[in-house]
Amino acid sequence: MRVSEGETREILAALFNAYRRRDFDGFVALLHDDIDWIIHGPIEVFPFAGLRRGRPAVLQALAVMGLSYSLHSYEPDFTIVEDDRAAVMADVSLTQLATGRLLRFRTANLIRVAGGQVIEFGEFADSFDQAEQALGRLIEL
Amino acid sequence: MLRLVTDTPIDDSAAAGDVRAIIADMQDAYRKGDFARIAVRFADDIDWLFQAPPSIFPAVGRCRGKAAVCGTFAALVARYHIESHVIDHVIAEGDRAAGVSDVVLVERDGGRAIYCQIASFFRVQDGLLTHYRGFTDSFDTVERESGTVLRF
Repeated sequence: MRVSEGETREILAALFNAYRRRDFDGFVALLHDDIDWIIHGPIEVFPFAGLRRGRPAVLQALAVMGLSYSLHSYEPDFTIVEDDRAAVMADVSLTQLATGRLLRFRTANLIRVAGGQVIEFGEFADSFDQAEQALGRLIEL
Repeated sequence: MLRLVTDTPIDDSAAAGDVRAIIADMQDAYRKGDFARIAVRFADDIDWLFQAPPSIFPAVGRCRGKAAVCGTFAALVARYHIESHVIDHVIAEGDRAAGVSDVVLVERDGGRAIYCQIASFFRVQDGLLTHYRGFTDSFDTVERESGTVLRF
């Protein structure tokens, strides 16, 4: 069944609002049982990164993320919606709980919705820069 | 942190089909290595930013103006042959579009193939690309480019 842009936009807004409010239950309710979720980045530095399939796997990744980071801000400023798909750019800052260090970066999110929920979620960022921020030093090459 | 100047409203007068056709033409030119055809699509004041360490890769960082962007492409193709550049699904709305490309670069010296996925965001005006933002898993790309697993 075709998903309208209005519906996609509503789901997107609800997802990001729940994320910003740290409304974990509200966020999780918007994830499809069969979701494909990927955060592109080094698992050695960000153990919650990588491909997760299905809602339980995503919840596990979010739980791991919550042990190390808390969201400071998420500010989307570029959104494109077409049918069941959306692309978003945002400025994000996370607080590293162990050090209090603030990580600031730009993200690209690619999202697809189905049945009123998110069924595909992909996140890109300059992961080399993210890793250096997380480690608090330059990575030697 | 550099931001794309996108807080202006989407220009609905620009049909999504137009931006999609422009991107399709650029993708075809990428595949054929026809950079003159790509350059024709750049606005004179194009604002270009690829988010990755500029100390490691050519053609990343921020460039303003057609000449500067063409210069980054020249640096890229001097170092790599673009073996493959396939965008899976373009999302388009008004004057804007985005998509994820599967890209294979082959080093001209040594022949190492580097696979990466690139998330691209485009904005066009009057048939020309005025803004570009590119993202990749730069940590993974550094490892593939260097042929080593980074240790820290």
